[in-house]
Amino acid sequence: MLNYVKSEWYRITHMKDMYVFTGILSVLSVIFNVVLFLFSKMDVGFPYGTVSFSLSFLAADMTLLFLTGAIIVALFFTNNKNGVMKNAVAFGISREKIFIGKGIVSAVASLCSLVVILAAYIGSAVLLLEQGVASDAIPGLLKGIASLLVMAVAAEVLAVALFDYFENNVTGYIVWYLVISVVPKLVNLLGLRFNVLKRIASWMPANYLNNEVMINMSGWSALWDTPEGVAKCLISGGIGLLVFVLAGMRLCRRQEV
Amino acid sequence: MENIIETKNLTKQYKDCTALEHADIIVQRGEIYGLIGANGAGKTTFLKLVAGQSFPTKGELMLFGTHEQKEQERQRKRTGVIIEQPGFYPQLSIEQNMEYYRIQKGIPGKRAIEETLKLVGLWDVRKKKGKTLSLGMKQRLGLGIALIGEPELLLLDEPINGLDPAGIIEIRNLLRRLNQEKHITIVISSHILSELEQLATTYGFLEKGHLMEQISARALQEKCGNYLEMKVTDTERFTVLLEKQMSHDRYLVLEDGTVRIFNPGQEVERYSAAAGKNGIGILSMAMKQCTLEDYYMNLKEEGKKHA
Repeated sequence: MLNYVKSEWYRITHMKDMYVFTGILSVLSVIFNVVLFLFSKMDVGFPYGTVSFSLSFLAADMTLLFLTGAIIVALFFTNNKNGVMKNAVAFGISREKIFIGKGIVSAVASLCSLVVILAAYIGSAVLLLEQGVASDAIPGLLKGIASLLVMAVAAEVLAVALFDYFENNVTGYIVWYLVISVVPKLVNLLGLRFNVLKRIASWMPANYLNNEVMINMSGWSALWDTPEGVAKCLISGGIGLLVFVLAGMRLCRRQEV
Repeated sequence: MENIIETKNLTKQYKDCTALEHADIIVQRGEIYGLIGANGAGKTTFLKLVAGQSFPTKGELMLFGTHEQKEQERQRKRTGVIIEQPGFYPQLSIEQNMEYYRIQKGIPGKRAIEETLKLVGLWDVRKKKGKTLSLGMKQRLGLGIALIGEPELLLLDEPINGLDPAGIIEIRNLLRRLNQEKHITIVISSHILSELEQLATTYGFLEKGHLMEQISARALQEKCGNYLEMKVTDTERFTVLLEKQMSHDRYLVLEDGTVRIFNPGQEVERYSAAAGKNGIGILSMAMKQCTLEDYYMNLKEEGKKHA
């Protein structure tokens, strides 16, 4: 598997695409802060020209992290179409190893990309904008990202499994969205009637990010502010990762390529 | 001789069709095994099963003497493949694609890339991106990827597709050289039967998922021999005459009405005499050497007759 991981890493670092993708998102995040900066310069009473507002854009909806991971997989790790996966299988690399190898490389590549984008996003916010209501917005955001990183990897691993399983990326994305977003909401709904489901629903990221994160212009209050909240994020991420890895291995085991 | 591939009752069923049915195919070490069949005959299905890209519905597949799936996966490191289309990344250059597979196969040293690219004639254009390659170059790159790491078994599905005549000759000579000098066993499918005829040492004829016959090139030559080609004024009556009066059912009627009589024996004039006696005029008559294509067509016709 190590050889497969190395070859995928070689590929991803030798193709322009990942750099272009990271560059585009970095530039977009800088443009976002530049727009806020210009608006606050043009209008002295403009309340949104602050670091805390800028960063709340991501902090208030951390599912963006999951979505970006899925986009990275869809763009750079669905190699069924050009016959490359067929070769890997024919060369004796098991489907499970391919799946896990892809999961590892996509997670590491996404993490590298995230570091660059965050540097551009937070850096430009700090350079251009006022502090705002929440003085600890930067550590708050970073703590939130760190707490949800395992879940972000789990969501990415799920994307690897589904995009490989369904030949059509659109179908893969729909199923991914159902699992990540719609199923938790359904369980939450059923939880209104059944207590067991209510408890399960409260451990699903789509639900706790919706119910236990209150980040807006009045202030920052997020579940990862407390050690229990961080633990909840990490444990649910760990469970998600385990479930999606096992499900992915089962999906790919007898898959025809 | 060692059997590299051995299948027993190998069957592959897709939802609504049987792509391969009860196929008993044996490929021995050192052979160039030509898979012959029309589209949908089961050639690619067979290659995909051997390559581990799909799984048999029924039957047994032995690869390098093992039928255990995990062990077969390990043994597949000894194979190189081009199935359906050469698999490579269009955004990477030829050399980068080769490097990708060199790392993946765990081949030490970059020298293997240079040697393989020189072998398939792509060394001088190694900086070209995959997306800018012509069809022929893509095939060569696919072959290069299959060859890197000196495999013992090559599975090639239509490897000369898209090559120009010079390229076809080059690849044919390369495959022959690999087989003779490096003793690589090759399983090759192609629609161009004249190509296979020049290359293969054993043939497997597939028709609608069934293996009609497996025969060595030498045995085929002996079995096939000559045929008598006759054009007559009344083909239908002539074929009745052949079967009823002369008890000869090894014949084939071509689309233009020409009748090919296989293994006609020494006295070919008895056919013209019988036609004349029954008032059937002879427009032309000639003895010809049977080609692989003739043999295949005859086999297909016989298959239809017995169906």
